[in-house]
Amino acid sequence: MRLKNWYGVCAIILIVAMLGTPVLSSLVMAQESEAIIVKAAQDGERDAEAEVNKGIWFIAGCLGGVPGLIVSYVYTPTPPSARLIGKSPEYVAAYSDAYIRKAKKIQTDMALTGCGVAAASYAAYYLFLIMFGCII
Amino acid sequence: MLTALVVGFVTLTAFTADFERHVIEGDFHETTSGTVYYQNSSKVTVEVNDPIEQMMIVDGKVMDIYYPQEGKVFRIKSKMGSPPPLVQGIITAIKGGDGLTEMGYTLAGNKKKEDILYTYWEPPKKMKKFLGIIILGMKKGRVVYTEARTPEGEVVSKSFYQDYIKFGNIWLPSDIYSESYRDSNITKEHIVYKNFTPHIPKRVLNFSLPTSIHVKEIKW
Repeated sequence: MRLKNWYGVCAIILIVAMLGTPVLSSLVMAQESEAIIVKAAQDGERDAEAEVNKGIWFIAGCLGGVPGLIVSYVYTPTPPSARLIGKSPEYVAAYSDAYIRKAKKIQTDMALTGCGVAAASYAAYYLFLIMFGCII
Repeated sequence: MLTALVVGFVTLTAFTADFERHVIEGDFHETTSGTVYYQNSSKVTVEVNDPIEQMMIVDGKVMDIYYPQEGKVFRIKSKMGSPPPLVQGIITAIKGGDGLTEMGYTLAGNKKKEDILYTYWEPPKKMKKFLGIIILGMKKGRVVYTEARTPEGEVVSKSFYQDYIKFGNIWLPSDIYSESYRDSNITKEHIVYKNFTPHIPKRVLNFSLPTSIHVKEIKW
């Protein structure tokens, strides 16, 4: 009787192992793929932070006003192609998305700041002229 | 059939070279190897064999990244164009000061230290707010060192070029080591080139993507 129970237990373990292995391996693969995507997104955001020239976009917003702001929304920056050498398709897709999203955010934020600074300067200047009676 | 990049008095003609590239960022270490095919200044193909099979075909402002095993293609179109990968260091080395002059840099001074002549190059006036000086180290007429700085004088990157080999009538560096600095992080890149040959295989020259594959377009 005991022996029969042992056979039963062994059979269950074997079945679980046979059925479970593909599930486990696909889980591991999914986790690896997710890790690649997370790393790619981090790399993309970090590179965008380092490579987008904040000063140029601030000046574009400051001197260009609304057109400068529109350009910052429309212009898509170019990520470094060397970053994609030997990388998987998942990495390429996630890196490009993250880089472009972050770079555009920096561009528009800086252009908006520049635009705001310019607008505030104009307002202060106008106020100054009114206060000192240059404009009636 | 193949055009050439004319650089001052030297001409970079088509070449094929095997490469091994190591990138180290903190604890992360990555090795990539394959072959680079330089057809002309705007057409470069990189065939990666390890860690995955990948082909990068840069043709002007379009770059195709093809994965033969997965049957996937990314087509990246950029308005400005991206410098072709893996040949930029070689082009910098053979262009030297001529390349900087083309970009509007002007020679600001020089200093000789041991047997290396260091020249200091200032960016164009309009760009001085955004770009710093570039230092070029030359030994026996070959670039052995480049350094780029921010307008505030902080070092952005350093590159060392060595093991020059004669290719036609020009000398090409077969070992390029670079360090780039951002915040407190250092990225190290070491590329070793081997087996330089002027021959580009027909399968690369005539390569076209399989028509059955769906191309995913990304606009940069």
